[in-house]
Amino acid sequence: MTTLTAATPEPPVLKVGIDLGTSRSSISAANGERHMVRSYVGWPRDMVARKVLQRDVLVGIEALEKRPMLDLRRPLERGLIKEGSARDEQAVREIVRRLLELAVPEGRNPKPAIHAVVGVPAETLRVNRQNLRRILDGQVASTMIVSEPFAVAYGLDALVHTMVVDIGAGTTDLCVLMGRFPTEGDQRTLNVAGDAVDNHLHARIQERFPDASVSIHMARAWKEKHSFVGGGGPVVVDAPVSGRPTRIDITEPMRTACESLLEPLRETMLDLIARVEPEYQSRVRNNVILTGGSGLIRGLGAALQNALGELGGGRVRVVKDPVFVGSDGGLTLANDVRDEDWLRLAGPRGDQ
Amino acid sequence: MSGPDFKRDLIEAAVRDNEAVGPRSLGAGDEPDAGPGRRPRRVSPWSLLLLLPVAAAAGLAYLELNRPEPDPSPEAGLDGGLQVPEIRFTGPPQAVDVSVFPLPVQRIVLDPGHGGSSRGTAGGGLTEKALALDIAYRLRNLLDDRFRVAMTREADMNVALDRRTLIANRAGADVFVSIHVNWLPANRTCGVETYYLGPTDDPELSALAERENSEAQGYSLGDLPRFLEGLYAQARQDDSRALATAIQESLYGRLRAENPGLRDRGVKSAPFVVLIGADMPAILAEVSCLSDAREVERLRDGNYLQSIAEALDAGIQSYAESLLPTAKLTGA
Repeated sequence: MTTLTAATPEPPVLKVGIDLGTSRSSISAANGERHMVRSYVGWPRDMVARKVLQRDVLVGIEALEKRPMLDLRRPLERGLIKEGSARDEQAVREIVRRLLELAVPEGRNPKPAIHAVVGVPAETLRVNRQNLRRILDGQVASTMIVSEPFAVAYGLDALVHTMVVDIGAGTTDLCVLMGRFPTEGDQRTLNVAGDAVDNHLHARIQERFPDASVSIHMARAWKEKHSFVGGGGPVVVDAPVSGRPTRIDITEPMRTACESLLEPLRETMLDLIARVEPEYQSRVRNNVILTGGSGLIRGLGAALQNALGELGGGRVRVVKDPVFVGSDGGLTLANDVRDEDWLRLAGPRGDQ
Repeated sequence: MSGPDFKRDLIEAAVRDNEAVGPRSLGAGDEPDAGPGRRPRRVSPWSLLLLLPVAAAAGLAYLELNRPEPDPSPEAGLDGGLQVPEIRFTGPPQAVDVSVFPLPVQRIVLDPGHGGSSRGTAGGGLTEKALALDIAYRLRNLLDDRFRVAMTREADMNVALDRRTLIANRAGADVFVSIHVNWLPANRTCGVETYYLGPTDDPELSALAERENSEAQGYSLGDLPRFLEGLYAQARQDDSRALATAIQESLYGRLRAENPGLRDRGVKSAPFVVLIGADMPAILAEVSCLSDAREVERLRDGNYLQSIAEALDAGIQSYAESLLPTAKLTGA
């Protein structure tokens, strides 16, 4: 047991940034390790499955691939850890454990004390921070929980007159950075995000091609490859129709599904900008950062930039490699937090 | 402005923000702009709803019996431009065998009151919109092992009153529960009360309905006849009254144990716009009040918010179970 007290010999410290996402979670560590795992956790359904898998729990892509044998959980669905569900809390604990195992090389002795900055959806701050802290107890020595857009902005050194739009799988987070720690009024979380686009696309394809056999996983894979808003296409894919592989044109379903993001994003962006002091609104409009996996939808940045025309124009920059932008930002922040602040954050939860 | 001092200030704020996360508490700091008073009342055409009982008596004879069904398509909303978002019901990852839970109530839409620029009541740094959303999240987590649950808003955002019931109608909900936190005049004991749609001749209830209706958008005076008809849709009103009764009994019965001073303010009817458009049993629960300093302190405690959610959960369950015998007889 390591405890953050002056009386105990202090272990080496490893600072990390962690991005807990609905679909993917990532870690960036001060020792140079950067890893991503899919946010899936599965437990063998029965003794037979346990015997075949020879494991008590599977995490990440391995869990997804072996899901028929597993009680599979995606514990961060909708950006929230389900309160009162011990299984989902345990699943989040397993994801964090796996991330830390990847960041800390096996056999390293003494085991370092982890000082972690954890990014979560903005609305998670309201309800779930206590749960997350409890889940992290015993795994990290000290924790700072911040909203994901704040971590992104900190890492990009874009903390003043900036809007971060982070479109993940389960949630879209928007945050205005005005040189102060963002309050609830500076942030919004929408449940219209990548998963909603997948569902929309799946439904539209089924409507248009009722004889085609298309799973949500196929729709998601097509979206990740062909998504667009505005002008684009054609998108032609292979799908079994009445059992026969058939070429189907899903250009319009794809466009419709992806463009379903536009209106809620536009409305929320304009609402947040309207709350900024008038003399700074122009700067914020011209400093919008679009990130997250679904931020890579072709033409989305341009469409949002076009929407800013209603307010006099603006500029949207798209982060090209969004997988680690959150955890990298968390690490940058972790490196800047002073030792005495880590002690304050450890509080009674110093055990690791 | 991006130098080390500036960042140190930001980090200090982040540390303080983390330190403020007490054990299961809703911190006052979460609502820095919350003032002690209620949002100002404004006069709107909706105050005409208060005349509903009188108008109904004179006008019922002229109403058509078969009012047109609301257009369920998102593109053809009430004003031609209304867009209704996709509804995603939450629930367990695997399909539930409904024969295990043969409840006629399967889909529930929760409506956290207010949101966005509509703060609702406020007191002690807490706001009605934040509390309602917090309780709704907790309630959803309790319900979604047994029911399919959706929410009219899942974030701090504006949702028009007509849109809330349109969401429930489109989702084919069996029950609509709107969650609110009250503000009572001075010297009035805080309590819980549950409303269903109907007329009232109580001026206080009229005032409450006026406040809750004041942000109504999307309707016009031309909708008044339909509202009147809605008010007197007797079958739905009976179901709504039964739902309100079950929830009120549960709210008061359970919360009184940890809040002995709580008053049972009863089941009442009032012309709330948010209930008018609902095609299913619909109620509005005032689960607490922010005008009472002691109640504000309780509302800071996440455990108490959880108790409110559990009481609502039990009330909904009780209502659902009350429908079971009929369901079995009809083979539903």
